[in-house]
Amino acid sequence: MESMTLPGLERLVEVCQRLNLGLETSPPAREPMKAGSLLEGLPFDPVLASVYARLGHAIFATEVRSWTLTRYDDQEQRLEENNEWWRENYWEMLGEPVIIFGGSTFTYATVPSLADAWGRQPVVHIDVYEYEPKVSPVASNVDRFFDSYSRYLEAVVAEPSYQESGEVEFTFPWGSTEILARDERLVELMRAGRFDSLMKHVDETTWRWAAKVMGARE
Amino acid sequence: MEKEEAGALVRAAQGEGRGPEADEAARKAETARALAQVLGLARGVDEIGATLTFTFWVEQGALTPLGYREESRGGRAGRVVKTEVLERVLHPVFAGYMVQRTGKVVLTLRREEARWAVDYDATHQEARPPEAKTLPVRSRGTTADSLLAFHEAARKGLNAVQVPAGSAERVELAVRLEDGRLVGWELVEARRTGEGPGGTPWPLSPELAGHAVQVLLPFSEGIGPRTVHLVLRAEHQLGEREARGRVESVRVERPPSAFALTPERNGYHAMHEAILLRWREDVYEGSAWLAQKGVDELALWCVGGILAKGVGFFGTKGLEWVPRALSRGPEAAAGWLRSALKRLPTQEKKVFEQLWKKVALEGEQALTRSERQTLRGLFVRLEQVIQQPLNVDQKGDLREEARTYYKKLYPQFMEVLDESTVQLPIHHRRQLEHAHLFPDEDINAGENLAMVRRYIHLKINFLWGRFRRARPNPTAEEVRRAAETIDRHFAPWYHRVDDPPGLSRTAEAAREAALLELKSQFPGLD
Repeated sequence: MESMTLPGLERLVEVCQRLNLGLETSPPAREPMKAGSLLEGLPFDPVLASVYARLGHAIFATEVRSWTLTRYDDQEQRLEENNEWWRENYWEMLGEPVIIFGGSTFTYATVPSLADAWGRQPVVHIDVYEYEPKVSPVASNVDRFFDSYSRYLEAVVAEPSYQESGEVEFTFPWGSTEILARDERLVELMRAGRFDSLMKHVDETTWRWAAKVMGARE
Repeated sequence: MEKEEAGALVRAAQGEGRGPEADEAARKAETARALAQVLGLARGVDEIGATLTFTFWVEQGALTPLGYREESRGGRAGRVVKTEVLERVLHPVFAGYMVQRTGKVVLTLRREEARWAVDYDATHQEARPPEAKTLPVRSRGTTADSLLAFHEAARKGLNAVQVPAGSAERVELAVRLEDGRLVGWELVEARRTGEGPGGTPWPLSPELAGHAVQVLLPFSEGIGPRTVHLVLRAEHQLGEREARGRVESVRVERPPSAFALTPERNGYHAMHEAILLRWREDVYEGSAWLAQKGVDELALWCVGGILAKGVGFFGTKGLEWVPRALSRGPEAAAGWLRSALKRLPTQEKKVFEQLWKKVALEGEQALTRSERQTLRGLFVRLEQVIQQPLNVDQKGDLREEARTYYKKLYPQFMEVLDESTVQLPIHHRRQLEHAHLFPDEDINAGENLAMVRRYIHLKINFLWGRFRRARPNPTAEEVRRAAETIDRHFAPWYHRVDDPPGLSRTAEAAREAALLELKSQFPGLD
């Protein structure tokens, strides 16, 4: 499973390099986390396992809206520390266990309970700035998340305001509904209400955003 | 942005592409223009005893005309004085004496039989008038467009004045300028000063209109809004088909005190002048130069450029929060504007920035009537949206920006912030959800941001959670007090990646103490 192809990750790396958006990576651990191995008692996502087989950590798009893939290499196993702390502090409020794997201002996590037939877990965006964690679904699996983020970066850079003055005109994920809507399985899961319990603390704007991802018109 | 950044930007802008050689070239260009203007006005004056008085503000080699007067005693014409002769006398005055001074200089030329007697005086102690330049401009003279605009205005403006046969009139004109732009031309008064036999009134001679433009043009080199008053004397000689005359005096009327230059607005003035310098030296270079600026700097320049015109700027009249926010220093105002604009939809924001840039570069008067209405409408929109709670998208964007900005403010934390994203949130001391209660404050200002460790943030969040439950619709004052209480207990953990050394209590104890205090301040909070 560790040798699975990761077209989304490759695309994100290519976009960061081609558009000079900055990219930092480090080599993987000699013994990276394996697919299905347990992290805080949960099965580790197979796509993430393939990612960590290639990278010990990464910071994507250091020059724009960067996000960091949490370090798990021979130097440091921060992935484990973070998840332990997260379990103690947030699982109860979330009502459902998640595995966090990176982020920047916000946190990205996989949801083991929503894994598909191949064990691939969807990705959610979590905002913990206002006490109750606010969850928004962003991808049907980790590689698809890389793909969507690469398309988000391309769209940001294509804006004249970015070219003129470096201004970022829209956000991920709120300003990126069209990109997210192309992830058919994500839309399917959302329509089936599979994220609803995780989204219990979100406000009306987020629900409207979710409706747009699901294809509703404004 | 750091304090004093506006000043540093102005200095950088002044220096950009302008080494000592360019500065020297600009000073020479200033001298050459002023000298040409003085020689041009002296050329037609032959009467013995006539005096021409030129008043300049001189600073770092930049010459701004402040006034002009021509007095004639009606004496007989002297012998022709060649321009080169007068130039030889005046050149050292301009190139040697004036460029080294700062302040008001009065230059007097008195016509004698076969020469001009030149006198100059720089003993006047006066404050710099708001229209005075401080940077020499490397330009050879007025652009053709500008020249045509002044001629056209003079022709139309003086058309209305007619002098009855054999009579004399004193004509006063008010010419409104904004930077170098001609904004309006009004006839203030036409008063009879000498009665003739009457009969058909005669128009003013085209030469008089030409003289008015010649006298007026140097005054277009000033900065900001102002009104230049011209007094003309015209007289009709019986038998002629037009009334001849001269410009007698010129003075500058400054804007009312609300717009006057005050020390704290000096920054804006300097920024506006730096922008104008680019514009005047090359129109295209000016706009391209501004467009290349990064987003923070662009906002700063635009704010500076506009606020040079005063906070009572047309677009913000009658509004409450917008002018209040803009009346802070340039950095604070620019930061506020950047955060506030995030609340406008992209399209509106783009239009706003485009118009704002135009005002900054070309002046308010460059806007068409509909552009002005649009900009005014956008200020009104801005006033409304800053009083509405932020939505999740806006909050997300502001949080991303806050993190980026925080890294700039504290470069020592940049690496750890990139590496430990999950563990190190950027905390807004006054929360984003209450930003609308402080519409004139920049929620992303440096002083409102603090990096804390996640577990500290969780404790602070717990307290805000309790506050929110007890006060779902708090007043600004309640939020201010709650934020102060939380700060008081948690400040030791702000801007730290580790525990503060020598601390006598734990974060848990700080949370308990803060909670107790909040309970006593806000009845109902549990």
